[in-house]
Amino acid sequence: MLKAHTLVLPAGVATLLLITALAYHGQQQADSSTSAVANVNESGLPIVMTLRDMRAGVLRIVASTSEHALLHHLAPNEAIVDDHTQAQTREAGLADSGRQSYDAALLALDELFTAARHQANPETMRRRQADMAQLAKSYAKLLGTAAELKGITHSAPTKEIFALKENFEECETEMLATLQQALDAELALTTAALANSAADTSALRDGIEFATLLVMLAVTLLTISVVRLHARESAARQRAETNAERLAKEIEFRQLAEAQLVAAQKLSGMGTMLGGIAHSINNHLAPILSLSQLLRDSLPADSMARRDAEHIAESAKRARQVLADLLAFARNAHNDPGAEQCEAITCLRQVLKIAATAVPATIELAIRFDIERARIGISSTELENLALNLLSNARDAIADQSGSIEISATTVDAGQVSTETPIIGATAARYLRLEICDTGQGIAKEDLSRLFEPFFTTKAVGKGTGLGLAVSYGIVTRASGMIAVTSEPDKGSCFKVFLPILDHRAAPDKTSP
Amino acid sequence: MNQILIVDDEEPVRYALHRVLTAHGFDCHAVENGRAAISYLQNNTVALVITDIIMPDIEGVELIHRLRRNQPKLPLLAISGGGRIDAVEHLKLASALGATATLRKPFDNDELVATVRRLLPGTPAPGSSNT
Repeated sequence: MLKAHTLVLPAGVATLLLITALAYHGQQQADSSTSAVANVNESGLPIVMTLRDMRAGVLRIVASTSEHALLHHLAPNEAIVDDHTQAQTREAGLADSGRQSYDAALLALDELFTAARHQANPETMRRRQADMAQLAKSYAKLLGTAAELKGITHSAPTKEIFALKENFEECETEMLATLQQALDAELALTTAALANSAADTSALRDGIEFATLLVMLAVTLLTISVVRLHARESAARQRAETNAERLAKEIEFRQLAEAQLVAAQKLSGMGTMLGGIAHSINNHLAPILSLSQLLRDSLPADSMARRDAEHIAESAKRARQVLADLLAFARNAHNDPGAEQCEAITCLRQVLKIAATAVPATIELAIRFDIERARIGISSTELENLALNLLSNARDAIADQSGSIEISATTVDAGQVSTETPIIGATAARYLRLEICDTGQGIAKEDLSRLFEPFFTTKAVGKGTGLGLAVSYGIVTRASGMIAVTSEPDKGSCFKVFLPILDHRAAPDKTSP
Repeated sequence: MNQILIVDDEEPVRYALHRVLTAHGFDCHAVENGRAAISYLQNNTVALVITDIIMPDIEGVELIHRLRRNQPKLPLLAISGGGRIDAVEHLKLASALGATATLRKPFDNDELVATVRRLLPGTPAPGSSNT
């Protein structure tokens, strides 16, 4: 903090002295009796300059009668610094000759005051003298304060008080704060001095100009510093924001993958349980179906009892189908790989037949197939079953409203699978992507995670068993594929099924029609 | 008359099979597990064995294996309602071990009778069902 005012304030004061010296150049008054001034330049005023050691970066203020003498005063590595707002002036402290500079400055001020006495407007000059005196006092005070803090008094031999700061940026903020403080002090003093003067508008104007100059200097330095700090902060903030965004995406992906794994484990466990339940129920259904049919066959054709027995038998058959679907799901949940395969184009032709029957004429149907020859690890029957389930759901989602269903199929790389769904586990190189999208009522967000659970349905009672998507899930996972859904309420849903394309050396299709 | 041996640990299943087959003119005897079946076969001659797969105390698969070793020409009909794994897998295993035919429970009476007739030469003609 001290460093700032000791390098800027002396520079500012030196500038002031220079300006003042130049301003009074035409009003020089020589007083040969004041031999206290060692040297007087041709104009009668001493030249006060700030010198800089270009190697050590040290500043010192000197007074000289002439440029010629000044040149002799220059040390080998020193240069005259005219503009004390330059960056160089922010470095360093006082050189060994600092004390001499201080004395020389005071001496020069004295001379100026003497010269000022002979001004045409004594009153104005008295005001200026008061101002200058104040400034000089402030300078001396600050310098003295700095010197005292460093353990050096005015009477002590001067030496380098402040060390060079190697990293300008480290002291920039501190310097600026000290500068501001020093300038505030100067401004206050100047203003006070000017305020105490009797209505001297020119003195007031000069004082204001000086204060303005100092304020502008401070503002410039502060602005530069703020801009640099802001730029550094912006870059750092941008880097932090980018990293935070990347981290957020990574976290989201991992959470989705974890949710998928939990769901798969849940469904697998459910499959195991369902298998055991199905065995037990099938054993109980066997006598129900057999004996109800036997009873039916023994009753008269038009008897109510025969119709009753028939209903019992039919109910037992429906229960048998439900269990068959459940067992299919349970079987698939254990990832039992099937031996069935089919040619993708052949299988998809069957899907078209399914679509023709499952989708009513009131619903617009669009078909887009863009696939290469490929074999997929699923039987034609299973793919038909899968398509029927998805198309039935799409149709039911549209219900009595006007809408459309689009069926599209294409082949994609494993990398594309990863970008289209959060599902992980793409092990094949290429996949057949079968997509069935509708413009129906959509699916609520809270239902999406449960969509493939057995018996979960959003349809009215009696309108669905809740097994269609569970069976579809089982078919897809058994074929080592993936199924994903996106949906927006009142806009529609899209089911994407990814089925791995098998090696061309795989076994021939056993299920082609 | 050719006799059919029914092997199933569930009494309602044994009863239903016995009733249906008897109604269609077949002579049947039912036992509740594989050990009882082996014991019965040591002292009796049957024309067909209908056996469940999952049973306690010598499972149907083991029964089939033993019967194939001792009576390689005896027709064997394996039935199953499934379990932890699908009935299909059980029945595939049964076929691999030598079962002549397989049926998944619950099955229609017509399906059962048609299969039994196919496995038993000289069986009663259709339409001979009685209660």
